[in-house]
Amino acid sequence: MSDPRIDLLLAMADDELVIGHRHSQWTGVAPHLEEDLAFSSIAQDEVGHAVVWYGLASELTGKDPDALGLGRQPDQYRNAILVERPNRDWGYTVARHYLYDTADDVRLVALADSAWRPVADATGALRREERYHLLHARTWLDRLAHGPVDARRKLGEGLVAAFGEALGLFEPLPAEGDLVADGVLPVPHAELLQRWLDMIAADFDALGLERVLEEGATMADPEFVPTSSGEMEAPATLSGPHVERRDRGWVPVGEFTGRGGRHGQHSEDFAEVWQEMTGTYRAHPGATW
Amino acid sequence: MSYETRTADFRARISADEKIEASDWMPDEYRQAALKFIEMHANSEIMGALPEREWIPRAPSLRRKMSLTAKVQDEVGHGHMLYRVAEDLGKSRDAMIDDLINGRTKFHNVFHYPTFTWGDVGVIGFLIDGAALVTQKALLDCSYAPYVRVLKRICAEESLHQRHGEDLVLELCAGTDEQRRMFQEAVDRWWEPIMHFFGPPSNPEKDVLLHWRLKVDSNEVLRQRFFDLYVPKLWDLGITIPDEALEYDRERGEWNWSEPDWDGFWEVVRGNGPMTQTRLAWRRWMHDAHGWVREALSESGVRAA
Repeated sequence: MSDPRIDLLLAMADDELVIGHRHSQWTGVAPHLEEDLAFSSIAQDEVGHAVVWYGLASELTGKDPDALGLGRQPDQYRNAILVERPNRDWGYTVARHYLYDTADDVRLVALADSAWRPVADATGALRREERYHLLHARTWLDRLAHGPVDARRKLGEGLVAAFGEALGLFEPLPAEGDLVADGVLPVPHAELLQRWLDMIAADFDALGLERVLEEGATMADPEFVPTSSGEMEAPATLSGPHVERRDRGWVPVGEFTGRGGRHGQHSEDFAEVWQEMTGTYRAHPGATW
Repeated sequence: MSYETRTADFRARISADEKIEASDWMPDEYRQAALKFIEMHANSEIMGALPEREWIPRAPSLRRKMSLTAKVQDEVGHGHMLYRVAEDLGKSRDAMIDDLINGRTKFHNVFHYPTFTWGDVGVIGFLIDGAALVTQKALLDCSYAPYVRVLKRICAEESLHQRHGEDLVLELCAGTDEQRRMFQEAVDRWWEPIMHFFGPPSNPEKDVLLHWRLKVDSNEVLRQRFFDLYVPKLWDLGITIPDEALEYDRERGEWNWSEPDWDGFWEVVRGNGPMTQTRLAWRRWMHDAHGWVREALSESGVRAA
């Protein structure tokens, strides 16, 4: 049996790598020069964080970080589907940036108490950088939410489109029970999800954006994806809890069923990411760059 | 004081190697020449981001992915700083971006070409940044002080890029046969555009930029300096340069080289390079699709004020 800690590390590393990959597609063409510079920095940080997690995974797997980051088959990637989606427009980009970085923050705060020291130790440096990402995301959220009608509409559309899949960031890991029992993951994903909902609901409440939680809370329809033999099959895609308002605030109702990114089940958008991101590396086995 | 007298005084200041500040009086000809030159430099930085950024998603290692993102970010940053210098000469950044994406102003010829492999990233980082560094270092002595201040920072960063490019090329040349071939083929593709980069041999007497000391050295001096620095390095790496006439002439103390096809150069200058219209159309599309973002930014600026 493989070490369940690898699943945890790869989930985080792949999230960071793929969101960094997507963010860097704004480099050179962002809507504003100042923002081009800011978003490029964030993209580099995210890939840098992926390297930190791949480094730890490397000790457990014996594979070097490039082989882990660029050398696996598509169904071996454990990122959530949210991060592999195309950037669409700036409204979706800001929405996903905000939803992802708040979720990442919740995850890192919890892991600071991990019983596995290397992970707990790594969170400090990562959170120092993530603090700026969060500040950046919240600044944009606020700016667009208070902006002209058009900006607020685009932000709302982006949030509605991204929210359902953002829940997939909290899909339980394959051996979640063991990780929690060992204290490697001090807080189960179900509880992390609740903490995240509390965090974003407070922001949405302040900005009058709560309709996002009502309208966006369903996951996307199943997509047909090619199997390793090249046939198209309808996967048992991830469907998750929806969120409802209760007395104490917004809560998730229902369980995750099916398989999502944490089990290597991806959307058709991942095929493009994988081809582009890993193509050069895979074409030259053994080469160093 | 008449315009002619003031201009003559101004000309004398430049001859005495004095530096001109944005707030100084300057002849219209100087202002226009400086604006056009710096604007084109700024345009080139942000258009130069496009061929390289194509390889961020395809970088062959995680380390290269990060460093290439950082490098392209620096280029955009240079564009940002240079647009500010140009703005002080009397044209808004919005107007400059608008002129660029609609093809009314120019950007450097080397950024009109496609990229095919990681070898192109090596050529751009090592040789094109090297060529740019040769020309930009020469400008550190030009007459317009705000430009010089920004160039100092740009040259520092470009030196770093150039070392990064050299490191990347060394890795390719020390790598597999395929990696070496990748770089050799890229050199074959780019040599002519690099010769074009320095411009045709021209008459320094008629060069308005030299006249106002907005440029310090002639095209030919800069090209020779590039040969001095880079030809021996390429030969040491076992790379063949696609110019059979290229050799150092000891008697003349300079390099012999073959004139490239200058018609091809002028086509690119006229905006008919292989990727000119594709890249401009894409930038135009991205720009137009996000007008609402700039509007949101300007409104929040108004609120904050």
